[in-house]
Amino acid sequence: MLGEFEYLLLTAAAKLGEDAYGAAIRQDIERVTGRGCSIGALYTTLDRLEAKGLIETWMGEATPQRGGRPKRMVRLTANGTQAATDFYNTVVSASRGAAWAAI
Amino acid sequence: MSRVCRWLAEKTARMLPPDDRDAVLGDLAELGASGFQSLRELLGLIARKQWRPGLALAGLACQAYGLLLIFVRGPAIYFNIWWRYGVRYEDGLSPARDFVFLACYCLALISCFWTSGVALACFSRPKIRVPSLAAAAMLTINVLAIWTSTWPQAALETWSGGAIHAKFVWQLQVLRPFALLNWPVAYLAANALRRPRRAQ
Repeated sequence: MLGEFEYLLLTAAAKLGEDAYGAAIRQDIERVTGRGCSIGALYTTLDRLEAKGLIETWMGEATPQRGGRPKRMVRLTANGTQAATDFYNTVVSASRGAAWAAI
Repeated sequence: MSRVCRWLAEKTARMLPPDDRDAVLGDLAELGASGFQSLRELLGLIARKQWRPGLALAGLACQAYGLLLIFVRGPAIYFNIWWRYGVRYEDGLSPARDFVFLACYCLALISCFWTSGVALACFSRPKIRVPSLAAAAMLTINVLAIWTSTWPQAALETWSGGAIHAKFVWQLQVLRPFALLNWPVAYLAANALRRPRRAQ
């Protein structure tokens, strides 16, 4: 079972698709949750998800806005998609009948 | 100030592997982080990735060393004499007090190893919460063990009519072991008492 932050990260990476990398994922998580997301939490979670085989990462291209430094690109694996789907289904099924579920 | 922080951030980033360093510094540049923010974020990442497990392991190694040196040696003498000669080690305590003293020692050892494992788990996964009851039980066991550990010394002083009197017994035998060896217990107790943050 995924953790809450792991799910948020997988969802952000899935939504961003080919443009999923550290800074973009962080901005998406902060926009969705309304809370700050530290680089430390982001990169340690990326490492953990990669070790679990739920994502794969590679170094992308460098851009001038980044001071000529490359991006760490992120892509979900089939196992990652399955884990996120399972988590989502569990939350939806567990929430059924709760007062806030209809909102 | 910002330039100094940025320079420090660049130096700090060298502690990361080359790929991580480039990706993180690039992300910080893209997000427009100030020098201070970059330094704080980098220190947070390095602490999470490299320092925290190391510090926890070093702390536990010191604790295990102290446990073996101080806590285990006492009961080992008692059990050794009973095992080899079949008699009770006469330390001036009554058999009932001896039993309570040794039982508290053994429980404290078990609780120390349990709390060490849980404390290590808490370091690697901060969301783990220890039930207040378990933390209170561990704290109680340790306080009892520390309290009963002064009994043999007190009995010896009574037996010698005050001729044998160790100075600073309370500080050396009670406070030092508690402060040095039981940090996982204190950490878990503090963790259990901390109120959960309200969801936003």
